Amino acid sequence: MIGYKTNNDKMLTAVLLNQHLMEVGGYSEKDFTTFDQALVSLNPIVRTVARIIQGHSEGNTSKNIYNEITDYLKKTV
Amino acid sequence: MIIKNLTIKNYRSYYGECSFDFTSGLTLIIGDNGDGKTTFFDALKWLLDPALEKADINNISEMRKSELEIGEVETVSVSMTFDHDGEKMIEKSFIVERVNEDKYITRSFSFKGYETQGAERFPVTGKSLIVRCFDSFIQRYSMFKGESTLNVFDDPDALKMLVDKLSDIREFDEYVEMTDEFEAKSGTAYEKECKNDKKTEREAHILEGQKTEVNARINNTRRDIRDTEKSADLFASRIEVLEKNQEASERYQELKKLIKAREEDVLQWKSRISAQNFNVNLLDKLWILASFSPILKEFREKASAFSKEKRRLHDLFVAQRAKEEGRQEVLDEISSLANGTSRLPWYLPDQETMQEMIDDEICKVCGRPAAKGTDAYEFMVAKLNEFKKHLEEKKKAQEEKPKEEELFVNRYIEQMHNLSISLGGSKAQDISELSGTIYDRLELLETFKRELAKAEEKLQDALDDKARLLIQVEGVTEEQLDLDFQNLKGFFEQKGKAEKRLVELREELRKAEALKKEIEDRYDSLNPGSSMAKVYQKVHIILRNISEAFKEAKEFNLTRFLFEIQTLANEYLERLNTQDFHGIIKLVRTSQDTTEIRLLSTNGRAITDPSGSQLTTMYMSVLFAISDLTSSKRDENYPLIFDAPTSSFGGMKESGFYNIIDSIEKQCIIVTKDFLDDRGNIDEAKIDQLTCTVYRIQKEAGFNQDDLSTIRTIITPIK
Repeated sequence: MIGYKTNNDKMLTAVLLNQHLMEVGGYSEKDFTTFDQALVSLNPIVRTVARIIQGHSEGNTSKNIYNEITDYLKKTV
Repeated sequence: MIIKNLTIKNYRSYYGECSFDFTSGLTLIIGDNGDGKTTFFDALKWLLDPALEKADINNISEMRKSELEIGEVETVSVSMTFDHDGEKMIEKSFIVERVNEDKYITRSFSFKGYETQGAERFPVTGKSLIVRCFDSFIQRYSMFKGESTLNVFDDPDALKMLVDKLSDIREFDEYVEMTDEFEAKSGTAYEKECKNDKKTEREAHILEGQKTEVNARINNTRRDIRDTEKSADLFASRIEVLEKNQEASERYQELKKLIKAREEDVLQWKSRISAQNFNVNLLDKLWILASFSPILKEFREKASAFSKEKRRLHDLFVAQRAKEEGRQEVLDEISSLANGTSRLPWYLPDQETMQEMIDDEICKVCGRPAAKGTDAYEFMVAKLNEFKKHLEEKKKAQEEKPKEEELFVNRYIEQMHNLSISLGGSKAQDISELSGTIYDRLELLETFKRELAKAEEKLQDALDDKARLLIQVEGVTEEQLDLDFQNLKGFFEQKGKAEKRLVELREELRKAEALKKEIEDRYDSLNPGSSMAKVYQKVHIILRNISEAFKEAKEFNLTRFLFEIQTLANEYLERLNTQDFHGIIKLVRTSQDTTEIRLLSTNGRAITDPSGSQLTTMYMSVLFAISDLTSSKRDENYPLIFDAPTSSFGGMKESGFYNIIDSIEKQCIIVTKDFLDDRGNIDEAKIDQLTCTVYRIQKEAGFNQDDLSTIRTIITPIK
C-alpha cells in the first residue's frame, strides 16, 4: 500500500482491505498497489471499487457510475 | 497560520492605534472587567468573519467620536499580519464622519488583503484570503469566548464535520449511500430476472413477499428505535440535569442559608458601627473638651483671678465712695451759720418733731411760743420744707448715683466665674477622664470594623462559592435550582421503561435484519435457469459485498479517528492536570451519530459531576488534540484564541494551567483576568514563572464612570 496519498487512494485501500471482500473477490493487496493499477485490474471487484471511487471523485452522477459498473460487470462475470 | 500582529484602531475602547505582537507560542493579554478583553476578541472576530462586510457605528471609539469636529473624518480599522505560506495581511476598515452635533455617518467600508510572494506584495481581497487561510471550519475550532463554548461537540454536526475535514478518509458518507443504492438497484434487477425465470419464478415471488414484509418490519422497528432512543435520551438528559442540579440545588440551599446568615452578620456589625455616634458625643458628652483639660485648668485659674480682682476693686470702690459721701455730709453739717456758729444738721429736728412744733405753734427746742404768722412760726415751716427738699434730693441722688458710679456694668466675670465653678469638681474630673473613654470607644469601633471586615470576607466567600456553583451548573438559573426535584423518580421509571423497550426493539431489529440477510442469501443462492438471471445474480452479489465493505470501512475510519482524538486528548489532559486528578477522556458515539465527550475514572465509571476546571481542561485537551490532527492531516497550524477560558479555576490551578500551556508548542492567545489580585494588580511572581509574551490592558486612569467617551484601553507590554 506504499505511495497511497490521496483521499481516493486511502478510500480504495480501506475498502479493498475488507477481509470478506478479499475472500469472495479472490484478490490480494498486490492487485491494487496503485489506484491506476486498480482501475485496470482484471479482478472485477478491485476494478469496480476503483471505478466507483474515481467516478464519484470526478463528479459523475451515481446513475452514470451505476450504469458503467453494471455494464462492465455484466460483461465480465 | 501564525498570527504575528493585530492592530486595532479606534475600535470601541481601543482609541487610536493599538498594536499587539504575537509569538508562535502563548501570548497572555491580562485585563480586569471592562478593560477591553472582550473587545479585543470581538475585534478579531469582526476582522475574521467574511460575512461581516459593513461598517457598524457601534464599533467606533466613543472617545474618538466625541473629539471629532463637524465635518472631520476618522478611520476605524482592525488589521492582522500572519504567516501562512509566506507573510500575509488583512485589514477591515471604514470611515466615520461627524455630520452634526449628534450625527455620525460611516462609509468606505473595505476588506482588503495582501500577500507576499518572493519580494513582492500583491493585493487580494481580504475575504478570499480568510477563506483560503482561516476558513470558518478552522475558526469554529480555534476561537472560543468563555468556558461554555469549549465543548465543540455540543454542535450535532461537529463529528461529521471533523471526520470530513480531518479523518484519514473523507466523504465516506456519500460513498456508503451510493453503494447502498447500487446494491438495492442491482438487487431489484436481479429479483426481476428471477421472477421472469421459470425455474425460480415461484420461489422468487415468495422471497419477494417475505422481503417486502421484513423490510417494512425493519423500517418500522428502526423508526421505533429512533423514537425510543430519543425518549430514553431525553429522560436521561433530564435525569442528568436533575441529578446534577439536585446536588447543586442542595449545595445552593446551604449557600443561600449561609449567605443570609452572613448578610445578617454584616448588617449587625454595620449597625453597631453606625450606633457609635461621635457627633452627638462631641457636644453632649463634651468629647470636644477631651484635649482641653490643661486649657480648662488655666481658664479656671484666670476666672478665679479675675473674680478676686473684681471683688477687690469693687470693695475699694465702695469704700472710696462711702468715704466721699461721708465727707460731704460732714462738710454740710459743719457749714457755719450767719453768726459763725454751727448749723444744726438738716435732719435735726426730725420731720415729725418739726410738724408737731408747727401744729402746736411753739418751739420745743427753745420753749418759746411761735404763733402762726410770726417769724418763729415761718422759720419752723421753712425748716420743715428744707428737710423735705433735702430728703427728695437725697432720694434723687441715691437713684442717680449707681448709674453714674457703677464700677462693673456687666456681669461677665461673674459668668466666667460661674462657668469655671460649673466646670470644676466632678465635671473637671470627667473631662480629664474623657481621653480614656474616647480611646476605649475608638478601640471598640476598630474592633467592630475588624469584625465587619471578617464578616464581609466570609460573606464574599459564600457569594464566590455560589458564583462558582452557578458556573459549574452551566446555564441553570437560581430559580431552577430552587425547584423541587420530586419528578426525578418519575423520570427514572420512564427512562427504565424506554431502555427496556430499546433492548426489545434492538433484538427485534437484529432478528429482522438476520431474516432479511437470510432472504437475500436465499435469493442470491437461487439457481435461475436463464443466463441473464445468472449474470444479474453475480452482479448483485458483487455490489452487495462492495456495499458492505464501504460500510465497514466507514465505521473503521470513524472509530480510528475518534480513538486518535481521544488518545491525543488524554495526553493533553494529563499534562494540563499534572498534579491533580484528571480522569480519562472518552469520546462516545451516540445513536444519532453524534459524539459526546465524557470523563471517566480509570475503573470505567463516569465522573457524573466534574468540576468546572475539570470540564475546561477536558474540553481544551480535545481542542488541542483536534488542533494537532489539523496540523498533521492538513499540514497547517492555526492559533487557538480564548477569551476568559478559566473563570472556574482556582488560583493554584490557573497558575499550573498557564505554565503547561506556556510549554506547549502551539500558538495560543488567551485574554484573561487571571493573575490579577482584588485591587487589579498583577501577580508578578506568577508572571515571572512564565516564558510567554504578556500584555496588560487597562482603562486609562481618570475616566468618568458615567461617560463612555472617557474610556480608553491602554496596552502595556509586561514581558
